[in-house]
Amino acid sequence: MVFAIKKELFNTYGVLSNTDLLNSYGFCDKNALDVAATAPRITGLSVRQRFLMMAKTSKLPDAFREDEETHTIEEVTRLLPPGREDILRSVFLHRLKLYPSQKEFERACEAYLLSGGGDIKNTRENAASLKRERVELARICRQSEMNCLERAIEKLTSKAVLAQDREDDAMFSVFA
Amino acid sequence: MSSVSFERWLLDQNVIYDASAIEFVVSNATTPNATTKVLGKRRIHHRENIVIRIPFQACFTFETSLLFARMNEKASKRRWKKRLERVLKKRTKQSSIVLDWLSALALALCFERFCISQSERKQLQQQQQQQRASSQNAEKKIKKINETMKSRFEPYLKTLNECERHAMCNWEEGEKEMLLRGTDVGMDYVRDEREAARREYESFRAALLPRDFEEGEEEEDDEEENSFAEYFTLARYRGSRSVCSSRAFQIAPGLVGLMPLADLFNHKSVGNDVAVCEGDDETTETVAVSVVKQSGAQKGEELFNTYGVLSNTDLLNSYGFCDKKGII
Repeated sequence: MVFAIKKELFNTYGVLSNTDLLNSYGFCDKNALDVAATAPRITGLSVRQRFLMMAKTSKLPDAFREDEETHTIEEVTRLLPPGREDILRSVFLHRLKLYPSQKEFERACEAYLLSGGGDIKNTRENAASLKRERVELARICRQSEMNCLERAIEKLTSKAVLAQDREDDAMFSVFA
Repeated sequence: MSSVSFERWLLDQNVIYDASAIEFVVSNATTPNATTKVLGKRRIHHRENIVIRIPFQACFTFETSLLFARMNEKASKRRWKKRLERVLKKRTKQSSIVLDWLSALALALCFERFCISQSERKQLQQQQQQQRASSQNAEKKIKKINETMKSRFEPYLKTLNECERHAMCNWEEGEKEMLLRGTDVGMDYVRDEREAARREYESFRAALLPRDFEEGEEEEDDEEENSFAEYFTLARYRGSRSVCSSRAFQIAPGLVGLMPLADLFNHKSVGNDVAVCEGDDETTETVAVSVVKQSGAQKGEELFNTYGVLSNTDLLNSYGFCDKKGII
């Protein structure tokens, strides 16, 4: 095996935020992206419903009264009462369930590619190329969002929550 | 539009770039797989820093547009100004300023493109007229129209695509639901750009081309307004909007616009080579593109900018692409 001289080789310790890196390893990465800050969004309504269901209370955190507001994992963690990561985890699991299965998604792509030009005002060849590119973009966007949700759920894992959500976890095999 | 006229325009506008350090690769925009990128011509050290300097005046903003000039013409009887200001103010109240700049800039770009097309049409007519050696009076009239329709950004704007083909506001009806169900885009957790574009278009159309005249307004028989009524379609507005959405930069606090050359750099989620920052010219207001990577930029390699820490959902929604290497 030959390596370039004087060039540092890097491993990765996982996709971790700088908070995690500093906490566990004692360093930060200037180029790191914080997963929590860019994780898929959830609505205030979703959190409110889960909160009522799981916390068995009629008292809601004020921040979730606006249904239109969407939040990232970081924001919701800040807004929820301490120690209620199980609510957040449950919301993310529910969110992940809303994705069509891979088979269903592939069927939709096939139907889309086989369908006619539709409203695409273009030459036939260009319209076909445009569709192929959009399918590819949808694949990447969908996959990266699912990865992000899975990482968010992993981050929220605790023994107690794991036991509670074991049934829900079975759905992960669908996206593996 | 040849690259020669664009280069000449850059010189006229005092846009300066280090030709020994960077190279712009712009393929034919009409082909489906058109690529635009910036390459390093030699190794650029971090300490060299600035590779492009752009004066504010060379940037296309709402304030530097022909539409803004039209709205503020002293002699103008235009109902546009009052009505447009009302629409823009209303939009600002309803949404954040961040959303408002986009609709204003998109409308300005659409109008600028209309003026360019009109100017070209008139020029063609003029040439034909000259060939036919027609009367001097008619010739003078056409020349006058050409001057008022002339966009000083023409060579730059002609290098831009008519629309960004994959930005979400240009996706056809049903495509989003079919392919992106379950995602932030499919669940409308991010702004529905197609719907937003339609709403903006309708409010602008009602303001610019009113059917009913309000009290105190006189019906104006304006050739330019009538021609713009024909030109200003939803497809054209969406096209201009997608260009603005994917290419605009914040030039200074509260000032957003299209920046020549700076908009040719592609995006990298992590480890971008360059960044747009404040210029170093104390006499003129300028922005600069600087090498920010500590290790510098390598010869022959593409130089990337970053459009921010964004998920693929956001990239697709606003810019029409995804980053395969992005970890989000």
